[in-house]
Amino acid sequence: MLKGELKEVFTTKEMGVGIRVIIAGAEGYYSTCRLRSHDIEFALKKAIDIAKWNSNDIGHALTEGKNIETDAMLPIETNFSKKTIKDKIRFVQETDRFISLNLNTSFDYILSNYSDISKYVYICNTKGLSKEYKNGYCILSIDGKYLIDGEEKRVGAFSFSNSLTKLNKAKLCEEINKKLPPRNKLTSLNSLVCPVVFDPFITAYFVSVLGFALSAETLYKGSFLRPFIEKNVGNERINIIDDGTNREGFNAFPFDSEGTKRQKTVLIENGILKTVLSDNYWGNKFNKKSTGNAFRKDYMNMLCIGPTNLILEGGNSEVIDIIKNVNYGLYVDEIIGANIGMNIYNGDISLGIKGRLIEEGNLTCFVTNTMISTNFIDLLNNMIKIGNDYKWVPIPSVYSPSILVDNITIVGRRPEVKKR
Amino acid sequence: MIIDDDILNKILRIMLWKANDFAELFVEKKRWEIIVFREGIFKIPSWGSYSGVGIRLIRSNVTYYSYTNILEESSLYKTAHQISRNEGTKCVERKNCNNNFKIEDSKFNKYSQVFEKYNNVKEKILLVNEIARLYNSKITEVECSYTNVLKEIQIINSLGANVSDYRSYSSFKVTSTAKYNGVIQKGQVEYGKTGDPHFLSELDVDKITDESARKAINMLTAKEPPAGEMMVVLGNSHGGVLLHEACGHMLEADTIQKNGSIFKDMLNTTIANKEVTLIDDSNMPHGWGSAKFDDEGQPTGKNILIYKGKLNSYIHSLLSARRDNKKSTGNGRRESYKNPPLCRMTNTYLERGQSTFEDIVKSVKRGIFVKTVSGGEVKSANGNFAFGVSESYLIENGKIT
Repeated sequence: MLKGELKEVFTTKEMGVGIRVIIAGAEGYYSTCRLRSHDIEFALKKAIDIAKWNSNDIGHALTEGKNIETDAMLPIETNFSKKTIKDKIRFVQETDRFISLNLNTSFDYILSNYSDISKYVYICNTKGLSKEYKNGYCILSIDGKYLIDGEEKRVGAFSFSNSLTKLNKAKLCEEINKKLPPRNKLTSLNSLVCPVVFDPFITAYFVSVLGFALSAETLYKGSFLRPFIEKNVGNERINIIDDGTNREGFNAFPFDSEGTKRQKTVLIENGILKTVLSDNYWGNKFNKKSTGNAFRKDYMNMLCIGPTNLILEGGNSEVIDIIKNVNYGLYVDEIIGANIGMNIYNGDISLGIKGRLIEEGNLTCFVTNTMISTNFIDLLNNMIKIGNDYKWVPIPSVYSPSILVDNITIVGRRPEVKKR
Repeated sequence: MIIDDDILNKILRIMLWKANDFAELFVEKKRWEIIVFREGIFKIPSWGSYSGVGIRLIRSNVTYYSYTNILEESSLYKTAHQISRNEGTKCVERKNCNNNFKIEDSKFNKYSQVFEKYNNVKEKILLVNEIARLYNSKITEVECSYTNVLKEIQIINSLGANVSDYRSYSSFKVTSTAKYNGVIQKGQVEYGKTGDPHFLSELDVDKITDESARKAINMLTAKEPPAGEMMVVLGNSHGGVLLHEACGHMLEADTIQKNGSIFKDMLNTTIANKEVTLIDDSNMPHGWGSAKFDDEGQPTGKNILIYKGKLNSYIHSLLSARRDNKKSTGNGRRESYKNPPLCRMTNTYLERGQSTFEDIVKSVKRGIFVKTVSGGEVKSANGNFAFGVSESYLIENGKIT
């Protein structure tokens, strides 16, 4: 809904199958959306043809199915699949009306968006594996835009759950009201070095990229983290885990896309890089077991390594206290260029940012036309405070709080660089 | 034909009977293959196919969209019924129009030859590996991928459009990795064409591979750039990426109508230097965005967006044009049957100017020459953008240093 009017309604349904074969170490994969028996036979034949054309690679392996305990994880029940489209439209309209009445400021526009997804996955293989799961979630998001000195500022919040009735519009409203800055003057900065507080959504971007950089495949290809295995990669506050067993996150599945049971993997412990994420193939390459991180976006896509639910642990500082202890710095709540500004091979970070100036512990002017330039190793070593305002962020699933990082280079209009 | 015209027409009549202002069926069948060469061996070629239907209704300015990949007649009727409203008996007449383009089956055979023999592909890729490694001993890894996509499209709508076509896309990408003294850098070059059955056989692998290796080697000795505001010279080819992102997207009418662009209400005003003429042209031979009609069945063509610095036209789809009381510019495009059409550019370019590259560089006292970019993001409501630069050079006193 946009500006109080219903604009778009989407409904979808699709199904398909992907067939993977391994012949003398060579892999072949073919997918199809047609599920009649002759279509499946055709897909199998194509997969075999592909395997015969491919080079042998000893890493390929299927997950063992025999004598493996079925995962005790209960299915995630959803109630939104029983609701009609009209019910969901009515829900969004009610939410939109509630939000408009209860926000503390007038926005140029408010976008209210509801979406839900239900998924059924079945995996079987010739090693006796036969597993299935069903899950899903629904998301309600509110996105408001207004202008400060002609510059657009976005403020948003979202709520997600397995049940439509648990989506809390009052809490969303409260969250947006807390985030609203006063319509202070806009400013841009000269280049300098200073501490920066990143809000939970921005922190989630960093943690998510780290999760992908910590895959066995990326490390093998030459990730910047390669020299740090079993060594200090950040300060002792840094603890990051990949928790495939966490049912609160967006990736709550009992097994990965190869049927390997999900697990909790400690990636960084007290600043030391302990292990990396892998699947059967990369586990075999490094002579280790799979960490249950084989990921396939859908039946049409190949396997790759993907994090499950990433968590930056140990946050116990109140955000208000974190900000109070900054004499001169930045509070960043929006970034531009996330898809290209963080390099998983050389660790460089270069992003456009928006946020607020921090002066003597207070949030002041709105800042724009500014960039930050740093790299992940410096970020991890200079992370001096971790907040306790945790949020689940769907990129793809990260549980992260606000963080304070010292010595960040701010790139402004002029090249003078002073440390503040 | 993926689905018989009679079935599509029946479904369209159902949707129009339910008092909708506009109804459309977009049918797509896609076949693809991806061949990847990495770590010295051919890895996991990806083959697959899908087909599906996107059903769109517009009623009282609300867009209803549904898609399914279950193409049985009963499933399509069910989807159409579900998305239509069960009230009203007003029947909207289907209009007559001349958008009835059909491609002959013989052309499909020509396109399907794009899926060239696999051994030819292997030969080309092995040649790439050899050339890159011979370029310089610091090249330690060569990745190469070849992608082929063949799409069959059928579109039928209440404005009378009834079109079908085949579209093919082929691309070849080379990434060289160079290592020296603990520094790792990559050089990537990608080349693609549509509708060219001889793409691979005519590909200049020497040129692409040399370019990829050169980039990686050059980057090994790259220094950190200075910070601050400065002049930027954008190279040809990749400079277009920045124009596409930072300017083109802000001229898309659906974004403008949501108050999401700084170019709202600026038609016929001067927004650029008079040397700037920006064109969107979907008829460029083998252009990546080229097609005879867009994804709403509307004829495509050449659209002058900016003419000598003045904003001349926005980029319109059927829906955005209707809102502005204008004709579609043939820019209703979609990623697949799963997505409703959006206003999107096709092939966008800056018309040739008067200055040579050397003259442009000479005119810069201190700045950056950006040869290639690695993508970016733009906030169209305020014009802010951020781009990754994958190859650039300092300009000092009119010279690239």
